[in-house]
Amino acid sequence: MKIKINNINKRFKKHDVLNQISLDMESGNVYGFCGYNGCGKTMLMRAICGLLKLDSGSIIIDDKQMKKDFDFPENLGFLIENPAFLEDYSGFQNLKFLTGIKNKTDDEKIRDTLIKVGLNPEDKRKYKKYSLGMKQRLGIAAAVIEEPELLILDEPTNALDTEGVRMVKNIIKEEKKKNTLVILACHDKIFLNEVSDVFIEIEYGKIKSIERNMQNEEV
Amino acid sequence: MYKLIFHDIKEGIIKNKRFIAVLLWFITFSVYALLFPLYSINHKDITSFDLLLYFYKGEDPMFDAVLTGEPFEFPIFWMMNFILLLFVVMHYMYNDLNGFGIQYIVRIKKRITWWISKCIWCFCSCFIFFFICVLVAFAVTVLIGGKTFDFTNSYSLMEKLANDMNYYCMKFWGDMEVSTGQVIMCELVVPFMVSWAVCQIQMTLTLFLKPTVSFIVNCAFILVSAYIQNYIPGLFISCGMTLHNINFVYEGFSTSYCVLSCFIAIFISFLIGAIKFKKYNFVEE
Repeated sequence: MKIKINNINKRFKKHDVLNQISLDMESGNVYGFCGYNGCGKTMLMRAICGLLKLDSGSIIIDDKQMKKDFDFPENLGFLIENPAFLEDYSGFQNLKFLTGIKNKTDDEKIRDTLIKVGLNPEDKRKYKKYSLGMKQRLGIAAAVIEEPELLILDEPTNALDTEGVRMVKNIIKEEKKKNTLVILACHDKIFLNEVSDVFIEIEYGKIKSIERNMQNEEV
Repeated sequence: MYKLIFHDIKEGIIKNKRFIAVLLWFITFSVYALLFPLYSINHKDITSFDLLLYFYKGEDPMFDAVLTGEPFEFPIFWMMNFILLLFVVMHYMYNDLNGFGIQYIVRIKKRITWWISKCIWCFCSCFIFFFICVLVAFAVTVLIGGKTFDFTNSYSLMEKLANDMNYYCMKFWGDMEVSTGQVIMCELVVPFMVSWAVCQIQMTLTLFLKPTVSFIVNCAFILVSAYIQNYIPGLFISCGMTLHNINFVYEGFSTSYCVLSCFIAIFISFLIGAIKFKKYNFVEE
């Protein structure tokens, strides 16, 4: 998968949230976005997910232009800000419901994914009873369960304990091995340094710098 | 698509506790009608459609009340039917749009599919609302020993309405020969169509404004409509006042005009919503 972002702009209430952003990304790499709160990381991720109507510019995925040829990217897994699920369903039921839309996965896969993110598939508690960390874990499970080609994770380590952060690292590394294009935003630079192949720093809605993570390549 | 529709019906209707308020409202309204306005009528003569007529009859138009020098009675009960319906459907779409709906819409891939599903949900919500309304009317007539399955209006009620209303072009009750089909159309279908149109407009407005703001705008729209009895395009809500129908007044709205204007309002609203939703930003600005 190749993503080509061409000079995209988005303005909300006289404030440029995305300002002339151009970027190329391709499968098998982890792109780590960093920047201060409100710099435009989440907006860029929303734009790549197809959740924003851009003022100008284009996003091209595998030679197809977003909004012209498709509304949302194919095989997308995402976690943006606080994940939202059905309050009266358990984690298992929520994933079963979501995967039932495309009918691509079975119960066994749902169980495996829940175990992978540290949740108990047999837990009958409803989502509304989940702790913040459990909600975040379920959000990650929903993002990866359908084996996406494009995985977008916005602050995936929010509300997670040390073991949870390790779990996210493993998932990202696993996805990379599967040749998934991973886009990641995180305020924790050490975490980003460990998992990213490319660092992209955003400031005032603009790309400030793009750097290849040599340390990760050597590993 | 059908999965999304089932999901909306389950989450937005079956789990929507606000429908209990609808049931309580129509029960309260029926008890009020029987105890006060319909007190003088022999309850054994009252038909289910008498109650439906009472739910949606409305009041004299304001301007005509001024002309005849009679005080304008504010159609509180009539307005409450629409306001309650708007309240029932107010938040579901917005909450879905900013919550679980995003998970869903990205997986179904088409924005238009999501919008169509919400429009179907809107229709179903109105249908359930009216189903509760009819159910209460039938149950109450059973309880009072009235004519439950008589799909006409009783003469005693028509006489009472003709005497009570001050509207200058109100038909003499003897002239109100309304067939069963006309009764069903103007006392059930037209109020339903108006309610559906109001809800559809509310849903479209929610794509532009916050749900509470669009609710207030819609309430103002209903309020303005309560004052008129003219063919003003857009102010079709007064068609929802059964006593402004041509079956009851000499210069009233024809049933076909009401149904047609509602269909046009629904279609335009759907179209505007579809265009807006195509470009909708999934973010609270």
